[in-house]
Amino acid sequence: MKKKIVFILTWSVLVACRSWSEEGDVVIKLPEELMPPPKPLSEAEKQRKDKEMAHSALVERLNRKLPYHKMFADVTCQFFTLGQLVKLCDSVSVVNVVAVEDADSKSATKRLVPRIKVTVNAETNLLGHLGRGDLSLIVQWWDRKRLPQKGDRWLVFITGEDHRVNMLDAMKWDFDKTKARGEVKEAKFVLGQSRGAIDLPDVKAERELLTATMGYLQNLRQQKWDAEKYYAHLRELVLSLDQRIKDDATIDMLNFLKSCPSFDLNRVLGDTNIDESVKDYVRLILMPSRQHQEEP
Amino acid sequence: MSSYSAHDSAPKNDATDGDGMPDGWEVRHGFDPLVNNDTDGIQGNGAGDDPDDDGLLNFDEYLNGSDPSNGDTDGDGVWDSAEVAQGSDPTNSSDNGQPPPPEDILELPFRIYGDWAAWEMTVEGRGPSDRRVFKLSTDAPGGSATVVRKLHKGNSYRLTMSWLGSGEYKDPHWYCWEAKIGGLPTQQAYGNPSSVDTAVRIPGAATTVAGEGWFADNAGGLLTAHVHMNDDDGGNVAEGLEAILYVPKVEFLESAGTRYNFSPSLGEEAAVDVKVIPASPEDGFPGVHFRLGIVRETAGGGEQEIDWLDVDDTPAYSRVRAVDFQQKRFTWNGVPNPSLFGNSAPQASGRDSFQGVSDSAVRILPAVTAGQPVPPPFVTAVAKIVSDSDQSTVCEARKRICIPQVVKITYEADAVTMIKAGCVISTNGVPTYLISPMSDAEWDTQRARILSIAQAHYNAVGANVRFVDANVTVAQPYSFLNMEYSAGSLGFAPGDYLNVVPNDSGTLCGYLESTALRYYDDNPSMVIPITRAEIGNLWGHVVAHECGHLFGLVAPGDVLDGSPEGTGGDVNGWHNKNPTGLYVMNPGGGTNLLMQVIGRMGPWSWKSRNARYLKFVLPKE
Repeated sequence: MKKKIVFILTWSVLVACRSWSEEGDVVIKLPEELMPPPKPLSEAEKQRKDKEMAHSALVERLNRKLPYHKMFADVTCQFFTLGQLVKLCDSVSVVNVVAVEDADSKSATKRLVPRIKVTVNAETNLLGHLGRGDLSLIVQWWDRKRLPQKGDRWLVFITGEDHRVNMLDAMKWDFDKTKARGEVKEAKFVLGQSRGAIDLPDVKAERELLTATMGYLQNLRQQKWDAEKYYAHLRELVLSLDQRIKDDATIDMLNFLKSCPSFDLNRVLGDTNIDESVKDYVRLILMPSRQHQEEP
Repeated sequence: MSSYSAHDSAPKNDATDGDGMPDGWEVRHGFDPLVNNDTDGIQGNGAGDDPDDDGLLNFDEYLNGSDPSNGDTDGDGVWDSAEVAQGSDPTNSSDNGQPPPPEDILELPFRIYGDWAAWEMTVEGRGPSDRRVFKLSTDAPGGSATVVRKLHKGNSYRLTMSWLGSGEYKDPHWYCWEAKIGGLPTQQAYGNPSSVDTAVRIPGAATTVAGEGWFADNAGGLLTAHVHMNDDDGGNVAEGLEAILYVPKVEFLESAGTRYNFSPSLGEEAAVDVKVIPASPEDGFPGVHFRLGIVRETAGGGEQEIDWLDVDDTPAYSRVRAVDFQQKRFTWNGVPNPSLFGNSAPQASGRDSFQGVSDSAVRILPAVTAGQPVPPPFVTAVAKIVSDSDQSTVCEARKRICIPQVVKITYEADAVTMIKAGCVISTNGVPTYLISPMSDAEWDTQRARILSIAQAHYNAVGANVRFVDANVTVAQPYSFLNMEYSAGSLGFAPGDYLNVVPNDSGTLCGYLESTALRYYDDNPSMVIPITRAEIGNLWGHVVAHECGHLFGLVAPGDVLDGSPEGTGGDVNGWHNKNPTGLYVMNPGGGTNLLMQVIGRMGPWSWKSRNARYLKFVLPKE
């Protein structure tokens, strides 16, 4: 009887797979020693799995409703919010781009993401002491729609240290950069990628971005982590008309709520600044999770 | 002989009765050699009659050796005329009335001419498979005969000439003849510097005659442009001469130990077996030689020779050798000859495009960098028989030799530490483990599993990729994937071909941790028990995915089903559109991703176009 159940389960999986395969797709058949069929689940395990799946589906559904640009569903982008950049950088500066060149122009290798050598000249330092002279950095440039150009003006988050931090730790709101010092190497954008450089197209955008960044710096880089103040900072930014600031603040808000167990989540539910989808996430995911953790 | 006497005919005469059919043949087949059957009024006896109604006239039956009174001489079920037309033997039933395949047929025009008497050329198949005998006849003095015959490649033929003179020579006793194959030779094999009357073999003239697909040992000078000779002094020179016509065939063989798919990076050599048929004379075929080169395709449909195989038995490279072997093995170390394929050689393109996408040409690895001449993913071995005199190709055979992309899987120590520790995820200060820590032996087992699973992904589409572990010594060029622990995420970073600069890093691990984070962060009690084997599954799949990027998959919106940039949950646009989570080049999405990549949601698949592309650019023999 058990064998029959296993067979039915296996058959069901195969049928399910065929349903999404397009004609001509090549199904990878692994030998059984490499990919043994899943063990049949006990009734208790099955119940637990069903519960997990239902919970997963709920998390996914709520995630999809969160009010930020959907590109941030990619966790790698969540590493580059203003909050994350501020936590990981050694200096924050307004710079002018004085030269741009393809770092791999002599290589025959075609890269998925081009490497660009940019030379910048610091205009203003918000954090750290970037020198006045020209500084060249090689950066993986992800935004293929807008490649850097000479004359661009950027807000840049630069680090001179080779970070060996666990990004999941770094996503906690009270991450302490001073305890995660790495080996000092050449200056580069945070995590070596272009998302550590934010375009400053006009005065208005620049003012809003610098104000938001200063707020992050005050909350996250002065060794005084005050949950109340940080929440107050974020709840203002989530209303920003600047899409980047708004999206980043929403993600930073969720990271804050996840990693600050002392903060009363009911305050979020009563906050008129907070989007209803965030409140749903808090009510249906974070509050049950926290309640579960508090249970013995 | 007695029958000739009985009929009072002339043994060497073409036809005493003047009907074109030789007396002996007439006697054998019941015709009267003394009566011109064309004019005797007996229906069916004439040279132009066809008494057996098989489509061959009596005269043609004579030329082909078939029975004029039997429409299917060999009884194999195919009419004689059909056999002659298609190139099978009307007198031998062992071919079942079927000719060789079209690629083994060579159509050759023969021509003879002669005066003062009828001339006849006999072409006798010497095998190994074709033993037909057929003739050309000028039919009458001063005539010529031209016929196109279907010869069988891989055979040789003996050519002889007969002067069917009456023996009643008349002054001035001179005569002429000409015999050519395919219009060759254009030279006179015989002549006389002082007089046209006396035939003398001109030294070196047309000793070997070669055309496309054939050559002839013409030492005796049978094949010649129009020559004159005098019967008194030179004798009937053509009578008794012979030439050997070769219609050779070169074949690559699959036999024990041959290797048409090999990796120079792994120290392997190509081993190819070549067979030449028919067998050569002991001292080799005259006037031709053998060469075996390595060519690559270039953009625009051209090709470039990049090396030649060691075709001599001496240690030094030699481009040519005598064709004195019937079968021989050759080896190639995979390193192009610098004099032919230098550092300035352009990118090996392999093939021009995939489904008309010109950009795909540049996707094909490897690059040519750092002064390292790198062969393309496949080359072609070209075995030729070449004419000594003008270096023209008599015949050739081609065989693709494929070179796999070797991908070495390396591991950063930090990454291994993290995996062996159980892939720690720290949530709210509480470490969580996907698995319990692994021992060194258990990790070694999973490393092997990673290779096997990644290999299975590419074997499934027939792509020529070989994965090797970090501890395998590999010579350049090769690709590599380095498992890194950096910026908080584990992942494989593909390297470029010369193992210098890490390329764009894979970020699937980011998804994994994100997904895991959702599980554990949002509800830590919900622990999915993950086995060590599933960790192997996970990274094997990740290796296959990142290698897909290494080989050019998948640009946004391209023919390979790349997703539109910034859509479908694929922020970077380098994956398959319409994510389902179970395609190899699909970053997937949703909370079931972890279970997908560890293999619990059913088998992974290559999207159709991705699969065809990989097989296209990385072919395997």
